Amino acid sequence: MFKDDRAFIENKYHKTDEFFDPYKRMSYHGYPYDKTTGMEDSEIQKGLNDLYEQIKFLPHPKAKAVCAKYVLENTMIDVNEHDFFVGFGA
Amino acid sequence: MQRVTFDKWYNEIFLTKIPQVSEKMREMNESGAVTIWADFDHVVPDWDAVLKLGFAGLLKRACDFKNRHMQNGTLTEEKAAFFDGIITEYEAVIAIIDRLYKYALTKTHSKASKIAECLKNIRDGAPNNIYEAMQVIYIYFMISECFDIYQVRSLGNGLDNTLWSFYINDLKNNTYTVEEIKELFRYFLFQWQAIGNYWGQPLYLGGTNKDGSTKYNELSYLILDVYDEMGIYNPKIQVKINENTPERFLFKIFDMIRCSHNSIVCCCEPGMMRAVMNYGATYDEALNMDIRGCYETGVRANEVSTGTGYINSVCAVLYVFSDGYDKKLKKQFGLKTGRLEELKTFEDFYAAVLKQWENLINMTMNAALEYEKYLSVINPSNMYSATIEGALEKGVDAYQCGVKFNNSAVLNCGFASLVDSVMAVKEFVYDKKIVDITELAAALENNWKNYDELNVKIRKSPHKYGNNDYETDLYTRAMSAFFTSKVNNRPNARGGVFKAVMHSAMQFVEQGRATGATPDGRFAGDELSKNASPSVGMDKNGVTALINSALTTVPSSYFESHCLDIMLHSSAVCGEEGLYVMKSLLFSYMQRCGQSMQFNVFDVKTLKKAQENPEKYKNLQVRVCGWNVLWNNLSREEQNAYIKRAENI
Repeated sequence: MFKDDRAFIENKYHKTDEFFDPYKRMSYHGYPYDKTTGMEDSEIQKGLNDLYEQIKFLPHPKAKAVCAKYVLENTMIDVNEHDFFVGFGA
Repeated sequence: MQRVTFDKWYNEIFLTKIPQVSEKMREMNESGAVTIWADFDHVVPDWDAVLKLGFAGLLKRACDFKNRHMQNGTLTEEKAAFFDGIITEYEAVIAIIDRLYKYALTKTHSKASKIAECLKNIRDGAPNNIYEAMQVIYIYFMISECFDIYQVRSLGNGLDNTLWSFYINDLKNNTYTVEEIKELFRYFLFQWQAIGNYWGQPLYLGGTNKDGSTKYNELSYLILDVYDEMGIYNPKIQVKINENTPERFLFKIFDMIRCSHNSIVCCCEPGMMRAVMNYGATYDEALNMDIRGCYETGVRANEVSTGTGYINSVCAVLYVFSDGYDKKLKKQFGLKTGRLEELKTFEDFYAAVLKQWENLINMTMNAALEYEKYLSVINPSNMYSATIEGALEKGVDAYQCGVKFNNSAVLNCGFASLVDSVMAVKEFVYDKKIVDITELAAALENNWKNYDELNVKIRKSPHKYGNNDYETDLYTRAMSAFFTSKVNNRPNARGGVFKAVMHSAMQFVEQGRATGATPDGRFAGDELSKNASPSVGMDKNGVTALINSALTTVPSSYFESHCLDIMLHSSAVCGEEGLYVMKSLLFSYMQRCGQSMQFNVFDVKTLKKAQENPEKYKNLQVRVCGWNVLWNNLSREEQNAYIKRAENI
């Protein structure tokens, strides 16, 4: 039932007991995801920077897509008992 | 997270390719005269294509178009890169859905098998039912915003109509009951409440079919019922209004609005359609337009309209006072329009204001003409482009120039502050000669300190926008026409045109903070007027007078959007009669081609109590500028501005 899950989903993107700047886009840090499903943000960031050096000579649409692919492959994911919609740890 | 390419290419373009433009934009922002940045925040995918084809179908379609270009000998290196970007990214989207599916299979909780089945289906093809369609919309949204760096500015092309066929089929096939669908909507809509972005996530409802009948359906009511029951204000909802809009629907939204647990804006189709047709859209295109962002219009699946600069219009007056010198930049930035003493007549002064204003408009468009050449270099729109068939046919980025209407918007901010300032100078300096213009300059310089009497006189003058004052409204009409004539339909850098907008977003606060005292009696740092609304506390003749004044701006001449905020006392809209009052106001505006209208209903006592006892008013919301916020999330300064407005109702 949604009414039982509401409080949980409220913490999906931001922890409600922590400060959240609503002007800051896409800085989602809610309840923790299963660490076996992907990397921490800092690892992805490092990996992306390294990857960029290898692909920076590609045409931009392709280079951007390769970076997006890297993040999608490595971001943590969630399929939660409290939600019908999936979670991305981006 | 995926900002590595965006940040690098943004800097590469602005710092190395167009450093002069970059510096000019920095100065525009620092001066507070124009707020400007490269916008990637206004796309609405072709949701019909997304849901009809699914991610796999979109990928296949892109591959098919690539092959067609190859066979036709039209696959240039650039086009190949365009298609390769789409193909790689959509393969990655499908791969993460597969990863989610496999992860779901490892779960044993009560929702796991349903989620797994959904993911398997949307990995392989188009969604089969309303839950799968919602999951596709949600996944598209998240990946576009978080991984592709494009804000998705509407959920569905009219969520009720986008999901209608799924709804009907699910009921017919006993896939879901109405109650189960309601429950799914609770989970779906609540995602955006939880995301909690300040500007809100838009979706719109309704519209008109080609035969003139309404597009409102059972699902429109179901969505509103769920939204109302949850008491959320995000997503924000735009409702298309026309003569055919069922009274039952109208009264439902009015009731929600007056109960202050809503985030709803009324978008009047006749005025909006006229606006869209003014830049070349056909009747059918206008009829099917999307509402996007706060209340912007756009031809469905065939228009990109970027925001360029938010022009702080009252700066045109301030630059006349300083002969174009900008104190923040410590340099000449506006035009030299002559020393104040040389402006012997109001005609001299008014001409100078228009010159300064035109200069700000040109400065904005000139910057956009340079940087908008590079939008797809900075941020190729792989996700979005795949949804736009026309872009695939051409083999060019949809956000750059791949749609039929590749437009750019220029925003008129603080317009009422401009009108009121011009009228104050006319009345007090030139007509009544109560104050010399150099003395008025001194008053502004001192932020009205020691000029209290003059300040009160000016603020009390009836010659203010929003009062249906004859002369003021003539100047309003003239200045509005001046702005729109300088912007509308001028070619932009992407094969489209510029469009005028009467919409301030947060700039009425941000630019207000950066703007010194103004001749209308406003103090330095105070809010500027927002949208097509009057300056705070200046409309004193009631709501009909306000509507009449607003209509003199000719809303449909603002091709992208135009919004009027109406404040009503709760006692004016109570009971059944109150619903008819709201309908009458809205319809009188709509019938005279107004575009959008947003209502704020409250009384000053409630607001004051809420300020003193915030813990008792945790759910009190106010409409800000295209979105709602909780009263308790406003600063005291912002709350005071609302109280001041409410005192005037």
